[in-house]
Amino acid sequence: MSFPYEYIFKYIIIGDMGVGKSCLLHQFTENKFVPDSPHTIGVEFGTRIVDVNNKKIKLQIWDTAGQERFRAVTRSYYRGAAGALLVYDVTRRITYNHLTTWLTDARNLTNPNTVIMLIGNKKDLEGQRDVTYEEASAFAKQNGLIFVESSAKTGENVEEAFLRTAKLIFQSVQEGNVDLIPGGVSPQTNPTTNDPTTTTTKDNNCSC
Amino acid sequence: MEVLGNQDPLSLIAAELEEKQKQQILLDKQKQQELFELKRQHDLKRLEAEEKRLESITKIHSQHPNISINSNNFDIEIKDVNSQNKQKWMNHFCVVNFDLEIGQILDYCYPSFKFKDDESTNLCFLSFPDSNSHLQGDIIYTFKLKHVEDSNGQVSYQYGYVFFRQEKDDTISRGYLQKSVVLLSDEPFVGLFKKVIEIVGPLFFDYGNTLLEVAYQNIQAWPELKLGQTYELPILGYILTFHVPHTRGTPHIIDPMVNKLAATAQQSALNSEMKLVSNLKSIDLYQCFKSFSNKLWMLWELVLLGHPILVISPNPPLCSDSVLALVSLISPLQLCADYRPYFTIHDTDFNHYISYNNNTENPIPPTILGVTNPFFLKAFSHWPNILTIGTVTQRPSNGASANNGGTKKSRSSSGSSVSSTTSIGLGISRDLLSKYVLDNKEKLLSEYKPIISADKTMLKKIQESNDDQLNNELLRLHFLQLTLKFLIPLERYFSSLLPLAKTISIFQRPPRLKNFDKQEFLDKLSEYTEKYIVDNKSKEIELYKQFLESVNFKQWLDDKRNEAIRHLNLLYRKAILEADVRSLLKGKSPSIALDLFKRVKDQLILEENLFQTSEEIKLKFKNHLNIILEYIPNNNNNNTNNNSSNSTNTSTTNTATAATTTPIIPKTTD
Repeated sequence: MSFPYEYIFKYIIIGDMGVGKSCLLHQFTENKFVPDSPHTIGVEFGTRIVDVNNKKIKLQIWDTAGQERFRAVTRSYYRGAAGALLVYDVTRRITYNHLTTWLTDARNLTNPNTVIMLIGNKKDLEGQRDVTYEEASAFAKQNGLIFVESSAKTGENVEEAFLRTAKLIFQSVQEGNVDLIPGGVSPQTNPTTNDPTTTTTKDNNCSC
Repeated sequence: MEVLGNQDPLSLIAAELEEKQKQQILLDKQKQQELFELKRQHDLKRLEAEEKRLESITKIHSQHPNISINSNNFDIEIKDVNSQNKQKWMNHFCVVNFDLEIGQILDYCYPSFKFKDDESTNLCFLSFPDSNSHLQGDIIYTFKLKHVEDSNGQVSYQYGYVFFRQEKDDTISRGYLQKSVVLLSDEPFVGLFKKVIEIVGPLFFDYGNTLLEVAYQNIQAWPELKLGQTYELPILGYILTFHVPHTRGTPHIIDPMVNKLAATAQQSALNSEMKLVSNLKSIDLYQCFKSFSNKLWMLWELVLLGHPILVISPNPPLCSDSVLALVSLISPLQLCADYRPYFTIHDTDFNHYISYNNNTENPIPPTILGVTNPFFLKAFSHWPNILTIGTVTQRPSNGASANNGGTKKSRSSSGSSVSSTTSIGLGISRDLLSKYVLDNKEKLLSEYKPIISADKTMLKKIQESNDDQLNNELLRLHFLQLTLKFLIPLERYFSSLLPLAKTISIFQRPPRLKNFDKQEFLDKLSEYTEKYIVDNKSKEIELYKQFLESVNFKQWLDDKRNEAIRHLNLLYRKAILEADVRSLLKGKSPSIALDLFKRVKDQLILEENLFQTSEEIKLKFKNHLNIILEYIPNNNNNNTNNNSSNSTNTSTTNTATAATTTPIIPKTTD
């Protein structure tokens, strides 16, 4: 038993049903695209070790279900996330319109230092585009999010999305916004207050 | 600097100092982290070393020096076709609720499943405490659910891991919420699944049935279950690190170092996302038997020899932990007796157990039963060994007032057997209650005269130490070593039954094991001057004598024999695979070649039908056959008699039996 990495970053992937969250995860962790992947029940999990500034970092990625009936349950996964990937589908405006709700959830249930990245997926379907890059880019800027358009199908910008987030978290760690915990990183603002990430299972409904 | 230049020198110095201090703090922090990291790596290394050491200790008895299977080019491990079906981590999540009209009912099951009536009744009762119904809060415990196959009457068990919640709730007509969520699994990974249910339980009460669906999917996605591996298992936002034991069956409890690491992980409060699980921590030997640690040696002996034990406790958690602690006391030896960490008077097996008496005609079979209902003291008063553990004030959670025995959850609409036992239950005499339970004393009621005595130095060590965790580890190691020491002469004798590796030859059938002759073993034992665990030689021989008659010995011997036969087959296969057929047959008569052909062919039949053999190995066998054929001169009989297939793949038995009578030489069709 050994740990071939120095840090663990917890990620969550959120967004409407069918925007390609699981496909992004599979593309990133297994380098493959499954066109008709089944609906996620609650949550899926994947890991990959990446290299950021010559440090080995294990990304622990929790991919949530977009389906409404799992919404309440999936909220319990947000806790302790260092990064959140907020995904919409560039060909379906409705998924873009719901971003504010997702963002509110993410902001309420994670820490201020959690890096949130906006991802416009299905970039390969240019002909069916429903949301322009400029519009989403402006939304991201307005809300202080980093933004990228990707394609889980072709793999374009998938690595980029996960790695850029990792770099930002790592930067945050180095600046001291996130406490350095060997083997596990969770963002924290004020070390004196009781951080929700430290709580045990019994108080998980703290801020829900 | 220029801006600073305008300020007075004092403030400059102050600023400089402040800067220095800041840097110092940062440096200190860094150093601390480095130290922490170092310590962690050190801990991990120690953990690894210790794990290996303990594994090697526990593996001693399953390996033999004469048999080594190194230096081969093939993966020659024999895999049984029967063991092919994938092992599952868990089977179902169940929710058991209390219905005012009916009593305990199975509310929900995911994935949905139709239990047999008996099973469903047992499951419902096992999922609820059957005494002290007025305590409030959450409890977690373990039970075993029996399953009888309809077709052949074969008995198997599932383990149930329960999270039971009882709290005041005015919205319910009864005024109380009483509900259990249960994880059912074939695996006795008590440490792991108690942790899982500890995470799932409270979330279930927040989110309802959907959560169980999600948790189930999480567990379904866990990597394939293999023995002896360490896993990182994600569940509902947590990662559990779990080491699967090397042996199956009893709750297996070694790897104290994992436990240590778990402690450091808890100390760094921020590290809550990582949870380390070890079986050891979940069943604390020292905590369970704190009040009678001097009796542990006697308990070890009782368990070793398969004597029936009734464990009575005020609540299910203490009760199931104590039974599991007893079962694991003789680890690495597997307890073969029936054991139920928690058993209720409503169980369909209750009448089965009550039918035994303690005379020689109808003796109680080797069993360890954990119960909480004081009625058992009356019904099972003839049991030879009764362990009262825990006191009524010892509560698993925020203890409510003690309300013992008198409160009954009657199941009005259920079968007659249940209502009859309930009425007997009410008739329990106050004397019995006060004598055994209400006096708040833990005791072991037994007439048994133990052969081994308590280890004084060990006892002293424990009594002087205040570190509970350390005590537990000390005891664990002590009893592990005690069992291993006890097994030494048995292992030694068993080794003498094995054929030597050098007797294995490609020209002969795999050699056989000699039978275990009990008398011969005892004779040999009395010849040795060495004593193993008892100072008095004749007493020690008596202990072995009794052990040879116990169920545990039978199982141990079966396991050993199977393991040895497997090894012999492996060696035989290896001998064939690595044989240089040409040089072996050089100058030999055709009849020898024919004989060899038959043997290799027989082995190939085995490989094809019984073992999951790789194509590579099968091909090697076939190549051998082709080579051997070159040494068998063509016989005219062959052309006339042999109308059966000439291929090496078909009608193999035909050619094999034919070959013994007349020298028929099969041709190959390649």
